[in-house]
Amino acid sequence: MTLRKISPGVWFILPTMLLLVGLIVYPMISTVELSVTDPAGTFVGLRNFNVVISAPSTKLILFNTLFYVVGSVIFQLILGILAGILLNQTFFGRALFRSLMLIPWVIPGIVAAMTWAWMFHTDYGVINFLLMQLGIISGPVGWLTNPNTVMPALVAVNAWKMFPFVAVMVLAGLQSVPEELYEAARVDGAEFRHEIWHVMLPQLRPVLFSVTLLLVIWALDGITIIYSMTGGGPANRSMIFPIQIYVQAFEYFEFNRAAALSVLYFVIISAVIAAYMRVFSLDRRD
Amino acid sequence: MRGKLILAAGIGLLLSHSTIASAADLVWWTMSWNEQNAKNFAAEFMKENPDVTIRIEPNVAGGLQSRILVALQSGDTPDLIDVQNGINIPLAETGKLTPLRKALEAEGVDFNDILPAALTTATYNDELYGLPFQVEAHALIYNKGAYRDAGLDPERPPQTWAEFIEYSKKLTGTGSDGKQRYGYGVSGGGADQPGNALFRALPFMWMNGGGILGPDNEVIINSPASVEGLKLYVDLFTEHKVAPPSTLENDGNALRRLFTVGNVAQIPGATSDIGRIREAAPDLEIGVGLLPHPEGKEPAAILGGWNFVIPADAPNKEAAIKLAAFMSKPERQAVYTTTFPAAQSGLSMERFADPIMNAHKEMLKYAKPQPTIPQWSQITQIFYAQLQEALLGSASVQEAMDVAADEIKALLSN
Repeated sequence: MTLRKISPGVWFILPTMLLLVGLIVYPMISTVELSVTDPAGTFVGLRNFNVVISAPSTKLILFNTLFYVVGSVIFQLILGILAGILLNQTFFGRALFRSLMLIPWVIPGIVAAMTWAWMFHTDYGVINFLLMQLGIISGPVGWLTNPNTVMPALVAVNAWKMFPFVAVMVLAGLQSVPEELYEAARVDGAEFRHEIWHVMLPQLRPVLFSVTLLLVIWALDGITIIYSMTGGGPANRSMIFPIQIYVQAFEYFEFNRAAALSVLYFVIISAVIAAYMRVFSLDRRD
Repeated sequence: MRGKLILAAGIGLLLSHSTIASAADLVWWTMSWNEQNAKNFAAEFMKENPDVTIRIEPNVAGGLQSRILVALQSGDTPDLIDVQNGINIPLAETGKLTPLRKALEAEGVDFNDILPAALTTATYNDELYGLPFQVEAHALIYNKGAYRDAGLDPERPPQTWAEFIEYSKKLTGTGSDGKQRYGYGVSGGGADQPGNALFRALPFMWMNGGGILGPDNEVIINSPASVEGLKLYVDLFTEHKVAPPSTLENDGNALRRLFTVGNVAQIPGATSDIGRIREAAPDLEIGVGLLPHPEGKEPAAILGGWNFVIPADAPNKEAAIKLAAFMSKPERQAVYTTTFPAAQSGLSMERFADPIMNAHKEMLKYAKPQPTIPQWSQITQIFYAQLQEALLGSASVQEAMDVAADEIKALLSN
């Protein structure tokens, strides 16, 4: 009865591990397998990768994805940190503002995206209407159809959607900053802006590190906003990797190429995350 | 020991769960707008066949193709599915649909009554993989009030392209109500793509003797005839400026809404669009004409519509074939369709007597099915992306279609 010799701990985690293997490891292996075979299941080496990499749109998609991730994360962090610091101050109606700020984050993504798509609409959108009433623009702007404005517009929506999350985390982080630090700074003659720069932000570093990591991951696999607002259009001008993978698989029925794209994207994401972790841990050793 | 038993039982339960429901009932995937109709027919069918229990599961149009595909690939399928005729062949190509011709003939389906072009949409490698129940073709829907306002005869819609451009220009401008109005609704974006743009743009190429693929599926998308036809569609927006600035975000639904509020005076659409316009704007006076065609040539339109398909892995295949045959009767199709029945004798029913449908009935004669090759979905995506390039003005129609031709050729040679 060798089974009895196995530590009971192993038995306790076994169901979870089996579930993880079934739901994560198996699909990953299956994806890799799909990426090196053709629809009939014959091994074709790296042909699928060749096809997806040489596709003329791939460079544009890579650029868009980068633009979307970097743009979103920067604005989410700036807005979120500012809102967090602001809402950490004592003022009348603070509790109310704290709850109101959460609204963008709480609304389901698809609802927010559809609403924004209507607001951005060239002919009957409220944004063009307001800007024209105010005399800022003379004719309607095709926010989501002009290749120059579509990506910034989408970044704006994503920043609006997720900044409350950053604000909440910053707020929580600020609660744990000991009052003595502020007092010490004030004794040294610090003003509010010095407090932000020399007390708050350094104390928030661990929080911001994990928050940024999460934001990057979420922006990298964020489909909802772009897919429902533009579908990657016009003419791929707002196409990003995750949507391209979806389109390849479920609109073109090219599961093998979609799998190749997924593997490729997985490698890119892993590299980004690894680089990020490395930079941060080097930083900490200093 | 006991732990292992519980675990085994748990896993067993997990595995068996998905099969419990599907083994007994015949599952019919209908569309959300047809749920009540399907339930009524299912009740009638179950009365005739007491040994069958039908469960209706309504679908929405968005993402339907992928939902069906996932079901087909997984092997856990419904028994009967309503599909747009344009995706019938790509689904058949997976090898996961049941061939139907013989089985339906044995059940007494009258194939001679069904519009031949509709049967083409379901025919792959000489076998029939779907049973058409709905057919439709676009016609030109126009606002009679706007015609009068622009000094045009509301009983005489444009016949030729030259007239069409002239009418559209006259209709564009500030109406007597002081509001901006546009002559024609060009679809160049929005949610229901690439289908909506294809249905509106491809007929321009067909009428001119061009197309995306020729009779033997050779690529003719950048031929002079195709480019000239498509150039008119693009020029309406870029050159003549008779389409609204929002063209690149307008799908069929958006265009119909703009038509309903008087912002666009002419749109291509099906009979179902007329019903929806009347519902939203009862006072709007609607006229319908054939799609305008080049001088001396005929109109053309894509044959749209819906087919029943039966998955190869369907657990109740025989009953599903019986149900499809039951639904093939003209009088049932005439109720179930949202436009016209595929069984042509059904057209004589009261429901289709309204003279406003005459132009649409006439257009059915000019309707052609989309090319029936498995890569068609992807080809339409390539076409749509390049159409948008042309609408954006970042490439001429010729340049855009040259790129599309190269991409399609590369796709077909793979």
